Amino acid sequence: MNFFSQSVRRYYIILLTLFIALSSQGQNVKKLTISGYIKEKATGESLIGATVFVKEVNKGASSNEYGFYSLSLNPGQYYLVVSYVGFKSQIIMVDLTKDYRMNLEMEPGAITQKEVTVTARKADENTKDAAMGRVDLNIDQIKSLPALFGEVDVLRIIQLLPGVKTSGEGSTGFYVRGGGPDQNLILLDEAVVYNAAHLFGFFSVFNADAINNVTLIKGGMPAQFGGRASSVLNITMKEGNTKEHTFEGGVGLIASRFTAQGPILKEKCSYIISGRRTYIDALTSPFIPSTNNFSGSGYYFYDLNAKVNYKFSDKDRLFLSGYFGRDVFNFANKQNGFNINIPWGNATGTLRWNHLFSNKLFMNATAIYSNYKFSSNIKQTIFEFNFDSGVENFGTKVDFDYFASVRHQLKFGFQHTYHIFTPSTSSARTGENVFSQAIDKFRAHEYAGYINHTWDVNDKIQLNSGLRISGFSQVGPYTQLQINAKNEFDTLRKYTTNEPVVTHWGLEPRFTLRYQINTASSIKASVTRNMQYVHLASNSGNSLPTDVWVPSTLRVQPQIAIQYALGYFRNFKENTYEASVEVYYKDLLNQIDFRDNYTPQLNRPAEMDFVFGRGWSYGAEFFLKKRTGKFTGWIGYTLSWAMRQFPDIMGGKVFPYRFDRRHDLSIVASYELNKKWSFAGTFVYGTGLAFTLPTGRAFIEGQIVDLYGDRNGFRLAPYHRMDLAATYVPNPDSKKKFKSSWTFALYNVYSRLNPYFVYFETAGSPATNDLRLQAKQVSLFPIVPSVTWNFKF
Amino acid sequence: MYRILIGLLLAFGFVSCEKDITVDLPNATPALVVHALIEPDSFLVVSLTRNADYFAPFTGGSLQSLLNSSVSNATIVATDGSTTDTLETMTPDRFVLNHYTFFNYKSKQLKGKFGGKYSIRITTDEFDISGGSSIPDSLPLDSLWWESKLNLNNESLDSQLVRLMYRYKDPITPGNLARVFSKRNSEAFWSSDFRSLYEDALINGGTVTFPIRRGKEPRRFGLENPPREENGFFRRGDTIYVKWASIDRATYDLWRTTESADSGGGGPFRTPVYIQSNLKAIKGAVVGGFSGYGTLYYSLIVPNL
Repeated sequence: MNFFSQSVRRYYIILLTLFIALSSQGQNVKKLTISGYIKEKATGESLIGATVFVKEVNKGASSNEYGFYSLSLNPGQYYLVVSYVGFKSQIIMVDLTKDYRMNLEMEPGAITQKEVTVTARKADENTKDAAMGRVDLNIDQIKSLPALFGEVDVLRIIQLLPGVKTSGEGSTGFYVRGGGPDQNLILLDEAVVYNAAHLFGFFSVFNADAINNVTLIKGGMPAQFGGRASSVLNITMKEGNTKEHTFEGGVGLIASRFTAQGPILKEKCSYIISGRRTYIDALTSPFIPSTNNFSGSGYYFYDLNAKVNYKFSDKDRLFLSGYFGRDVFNFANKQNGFNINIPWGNATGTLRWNHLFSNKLFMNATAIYSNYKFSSNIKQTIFEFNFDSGVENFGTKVDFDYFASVRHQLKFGFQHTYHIFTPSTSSARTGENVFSQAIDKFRAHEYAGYINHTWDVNDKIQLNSGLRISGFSQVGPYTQLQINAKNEFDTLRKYTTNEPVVTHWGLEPRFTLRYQINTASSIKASVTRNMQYVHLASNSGNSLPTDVWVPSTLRVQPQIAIQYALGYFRNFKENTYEASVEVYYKDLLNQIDFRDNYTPQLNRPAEMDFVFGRGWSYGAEFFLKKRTGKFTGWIGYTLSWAMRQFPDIMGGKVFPYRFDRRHDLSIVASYELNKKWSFAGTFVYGTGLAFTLPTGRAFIEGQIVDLYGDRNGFRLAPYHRMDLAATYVPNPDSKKKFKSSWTFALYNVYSRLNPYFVYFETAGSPATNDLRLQAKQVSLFPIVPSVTWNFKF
Repeated sequence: MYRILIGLLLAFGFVSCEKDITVDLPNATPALVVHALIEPDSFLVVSLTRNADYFAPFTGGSLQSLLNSSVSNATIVATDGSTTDTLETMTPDRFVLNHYTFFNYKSKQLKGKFGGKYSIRITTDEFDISGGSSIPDSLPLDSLWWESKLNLNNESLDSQLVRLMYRYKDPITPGNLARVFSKRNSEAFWSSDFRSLYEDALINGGTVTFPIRRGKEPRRFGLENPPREENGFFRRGDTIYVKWASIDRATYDLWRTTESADSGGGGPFRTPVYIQSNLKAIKGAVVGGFSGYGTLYYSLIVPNL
């Protein structure tokens, strides 16, 4: 603990010195600063990642997560080119004689070939920026692509990117560069979302209507992000229209959604509220008579997003946002007197304060609440059984953006999160008797301090270097157990409430380097080290709502990921096309899995059934994108390997990770025929998932018992699918406020029966002398047509 | 839970197709399959068979095919610490048969008793296996009764079927474990199709009232099984027998994993379970284990209407 405190102190001193040094550097040359916010003209929404490029110095700045930008320049006249994907670029002449505040508003507009020339600097950001493995997604583009049941889902689009893999048919689960499902940091307005799936992964919890921006970082993670080993998915909710009230929604096959937003005080305070609910249960219940054995069974999910922001002045702004979502599953079987009620879901809340200390120093202070809860109630006759698990976070963080000069930008900050983990706990009631033996909740403090420095060393080299120091202190109550010779638990020590149990900590250096070969191409390299202190314990191939998050403890060590990446980036035809090749190698230490003989057991700490090992993955990702014109899209191909090795699994034999996929291809294309019709299509191909099958059988007590072979030793058949969509806007030139569009989609156009899973059944019978075992493959979706009506007024 | 999830996907109309496929599996590692059983006042019985490749044909699909897989050339020595016994090999006509379960070795002197501890060594040319088990103290049930009027939405079934209930007071010491079997009339004892194991992790020291489902021969060979709607229930006029056996942790883990390994496949919501044995292979490989059952028997007559 002492060592940790000393290290943190040392780190703060380094940080402070750097900060002062860069501040004084700025003052010595007497630079002037132009700064402000970049917003969308019609709605007042902040534009994240918009660029302000200064032609004369061949440098620029990007707006941060709150739309703030800042440039420090020598006094003089400059032409600023302001650009943002999907928006009309602006060229502004500025005569800089004093510090200048310039808030900018941008209008959406189709990018034409001519404009590409004007916005050249933004267009080639992929080659100019040191960032690697980073993808920003445009929500409007996402909405035009075909979707399963017409339900637009950002996570499905993420899966179409190279290096990102899906867990299987229809699933929104994603796995980045050989990492596990718990290694993705999924943030919604800075709050961690612990389970991003509805209905066992078929839909994500993110309602596209409420989302402003989506960024995926799969490598070269900047130091402001941490706590996960593989990737960051940073999702920002819309802030709400500051100029007028607008309403939009959609009616789809299985769900409908509605969003309202508008000013509470014009230009000062606005809100957005957005809801979504499935209604298969409501549609089918009138047709199920109450006398039916299964009457009362059903499933639905809903989401609610809400956000309010208040602008006190140009220097201070407050945001309050939240998400609440639930899946609810009911099952009734009157014949057996059997009833199940299972609700589960996430809730998040974020309160943020933006403050400008100066034209160069931007601060965001945040208080965060996040929880994920799973509960179930099972009744059979007089017996009632309850099962609960979950995780709850209380977090605070302060982040600073310091725009020292056009060549130097600093980000630094501090974070603290108090975690409360509820392991799987059960209680039961039989008649008058209630049984409840709660397992202690795990409690822990997670801390981090970071600094990230972006430095344009010269016109060729940009260096992004960061350091993050993180720590994780588990506190009581905690019972330290060990397994004795009888395979029962002996208590070694009991820790009381708030008594320190163990502290883990680590240094997380992050480096990315860009070398500009010429105006159209660059080489980038990155090395990052990530620590992960919380883990998802899952013994299934898919994410399940019953999966339990567990902290690092005396027994469970933090996961460590070290990733090396090298990339070549090149643009063609005046940035109409962008292409890249990235190769990576990732080492994963302290990986967690369940032991071979694991089956879920009541009130037993999951960590006692863990085994520990290592993993590694490597691969090459190829990406070609057409950015502009009527025809846009991309091709992504990944060649990769992902392996695991655990001393206690198969005697230490190396086995492929479940999401080891040798080949993974995605093709995405959009075509705008005219103002009324646009078309889109996707094609995906992937090597079959690795899975475990029995190789032998035995008879024990009259039943056939499966004897399993090597873990993940088999492959499902390859997965491939094509989807198509057409969007029709009936009156594109209408001056009326009410606007609507229809999206017609075909999922799995050629009805490929992709394998979902394989199981075995006995066929024949002893009586007919043809008893045998038969393998069966289950497929989920054949061709699925859908139609969605979207409206806005 | 797994079946419920699959049911949910089906209900949502998600499952579109199921088809037979051919899977090319490698040969299984040869293993000796051991089902050793000792109960109070009974001789130790052992079933020795061989495992088979997963898709190997069931010759004739009959009991005979099982008997063909039996291993009859083993030497089995067992001891309770004072009596050491070499088990006799029985010819098939003397097998202790219970439909598809049979034992082809039996002790000559060694008998089980409550509180006894046993070790066993099995040797053949190919295998050398050793391990042990114990018979814990008995865990008597408080009472056993039946309930009618089950509200099954079917008058004829409601009048004919009954649910068997038990009450059990768990001792205050933690770690009490049991396995339950039941049968009606002259049928054989089977565990239920649901789960046969009891553990006191949740109710330690308390009193529990719960149904006992009717024992059922594993459904893969279910020629004599009751109609589906009778699943788990008994009928009026039945004489019901219950076999309630206290077991140690290793035996519990053996059956916990064995019962979970009975419905194969690479389903999306589960991972495979490898059987946790209380036997160790010094040579070759072993599957199964050695169960010590602290058995108590109960019976109950359900009168006709």
